[in-house]
Amino acid sequence: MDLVTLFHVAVVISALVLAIAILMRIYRSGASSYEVLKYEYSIVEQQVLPQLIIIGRYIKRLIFSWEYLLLIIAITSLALVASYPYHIEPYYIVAKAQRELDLPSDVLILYSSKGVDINEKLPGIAIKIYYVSLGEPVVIHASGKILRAFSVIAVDCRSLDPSLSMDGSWNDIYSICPESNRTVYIYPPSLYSGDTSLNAILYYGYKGFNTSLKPFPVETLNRVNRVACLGEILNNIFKQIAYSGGIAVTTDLFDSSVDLGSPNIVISRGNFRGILSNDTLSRLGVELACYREHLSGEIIKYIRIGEEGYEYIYSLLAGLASGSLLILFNRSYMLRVSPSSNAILISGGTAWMSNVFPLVSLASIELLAILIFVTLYGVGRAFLFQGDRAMMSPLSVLIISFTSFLGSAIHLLISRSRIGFSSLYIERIIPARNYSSAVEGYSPKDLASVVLVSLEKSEFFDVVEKEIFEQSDRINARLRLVYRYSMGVGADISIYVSTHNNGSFLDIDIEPWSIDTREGGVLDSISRLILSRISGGIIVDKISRDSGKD
Amino acid sequence: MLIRSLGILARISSILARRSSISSLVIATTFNTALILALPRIPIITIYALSSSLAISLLLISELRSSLISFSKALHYYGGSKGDRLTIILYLSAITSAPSYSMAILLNNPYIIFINIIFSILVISNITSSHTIS
Repeated sequence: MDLVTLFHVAVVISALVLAIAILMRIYRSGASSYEVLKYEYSIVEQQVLPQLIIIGRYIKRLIFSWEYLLLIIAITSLALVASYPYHIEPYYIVAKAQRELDLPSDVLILYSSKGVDINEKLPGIAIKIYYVSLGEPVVIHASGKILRAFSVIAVDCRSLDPSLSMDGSWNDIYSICPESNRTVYIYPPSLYSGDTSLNAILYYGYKGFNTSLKPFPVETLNRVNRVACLGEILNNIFKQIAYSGGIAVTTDLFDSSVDLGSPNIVISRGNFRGILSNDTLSRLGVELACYREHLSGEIIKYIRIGEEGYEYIYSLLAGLASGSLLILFNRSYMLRVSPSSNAILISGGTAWMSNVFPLVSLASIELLAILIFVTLYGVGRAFLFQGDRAMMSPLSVLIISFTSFLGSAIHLLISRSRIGFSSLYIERIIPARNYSSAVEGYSPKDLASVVLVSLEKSEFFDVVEKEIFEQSDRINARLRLVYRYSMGVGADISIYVSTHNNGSFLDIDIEPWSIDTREGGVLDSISRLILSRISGGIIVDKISRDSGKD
Repeated sequence: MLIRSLGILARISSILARRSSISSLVIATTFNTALILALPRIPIITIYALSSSLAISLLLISELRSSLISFSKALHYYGGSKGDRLTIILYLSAITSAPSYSMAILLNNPYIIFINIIFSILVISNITSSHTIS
């Protein structure tokens, strides 16, 4: 097995192990904590629903605001602009260059990255060169080694007229042609062992071809480099082929296996002056045309200028423009959605909900705006402006949508971290285990009585133990309470009441306990219930006393 | 009178600068102007220029809404006249309509400026008048 196969096997095994680990984790978590999950689910359901209702109301309010209407109008007009039919005919600029590189005076080199349309009349085609990226790699077996090539340069020299002279620089051009119809040049030559007669079997799909294997000759590259235009074009292709492990072959090997399409480079020889007009070159799809002028000897280059490049500039600018509109919308609404954050906290939501949900409400209506943009673009293309190419392609529309929403989302996150929504209402830790208070107008005995009665009459607790130690000006009491609504939860309470000016001083220590937990929210809640019961009892008693006086 | 008006303009400018509204206005204007500049002159581009400049102006005014309300209340308490209110309205309208200037020049269409300024004046005067205690 070669390295690539080993790598594939390793990746597959790793993926399998990962999948099994994930499945095991899911299975275990489901099996061991069924009861707990069921309990948590009911709490989560109870807590999230009111917050979602709050957010729904805010979203509705945002959607029916005039600012949002303005945003939608601007985005609608942008969608119409993007879908408007517009097409610039490509034109050519002519660049003259006195070059040291050679080019025979009767040769014309045509290049197109998408393929030269040779169905049009082209005089004296001598060589056609194809550059093809393959859907599946070509596999080469030679001397126990395996090479995979992902792209192919196919050279077709079958149209060469052997009666024509091949003197001077024509030799350099023809050097690109393989020696025989079944020669494979590999690039880079890592497989090549130095044996000039190395035979290989080349596989593409299920087909096998016996070939003669050679490294790509450096001297050939040097010779082709000397040819104006052709050298530059081929050099660029060879750079790409070096990254993708490509090979150079004759077309014979691939004619029946791969759809080579239109040739990327066409070298023609003869009287070509008649086709050198913008219209003809445009029909052929040519991006670069090179020839040497008879009289001056200058190399003339026709270079195609199209509108393709501009489309991406349009889409980038449109993305930035619509993104800036969304950011303005965020800024104008950021302060107005902050009350929703407080409402979420008051309705029982957590801190993260109050931070995230307002952002979600803004982001969701912006996503709705982007959805409207994409839909209107589709409507524009399908019904309003049928026919020719649109100002911006569907891909560009996606780029615009993505860029603008990304910009807005980044702005939202930065703003959230800078401003914060509801720092006033974030919950703080409240001391819950002890309580001290001076109560005017009560003797220690009266105050202790109020406290004990309020606990004994509590609907939440039963008093299971009670000890009272009474002296003239102070009272010590110890109680053990049991919480009625949960098994194994309660609290031990120490109460100390002493005289203080015209009243009494109350000091309470609470030690909550549970058979389930040693610390945490449940115990704190029990303490708070007891404290609120005691303080509430004192307040009610004071009010009833005051009413009695009146 | 002139010094008083200048003082009011300085206060309004400081509000714009402190809330970095000017920077967001400049950024949005730059990107939209660049888009108008890059796009070919198709008929529908005027609609986009008008709607985008209106959106930028009015969203900016909406962002400044709470500050404007506070400012107009404060001005009223300290004896601000109708002339002072007019100064605020005109100055803010002129600033918030900035996106329309470049677009109108690029498209050779002055109506974009007129429409934008009229809308800005209407919205700003509505905000400042409805929240003034009389």
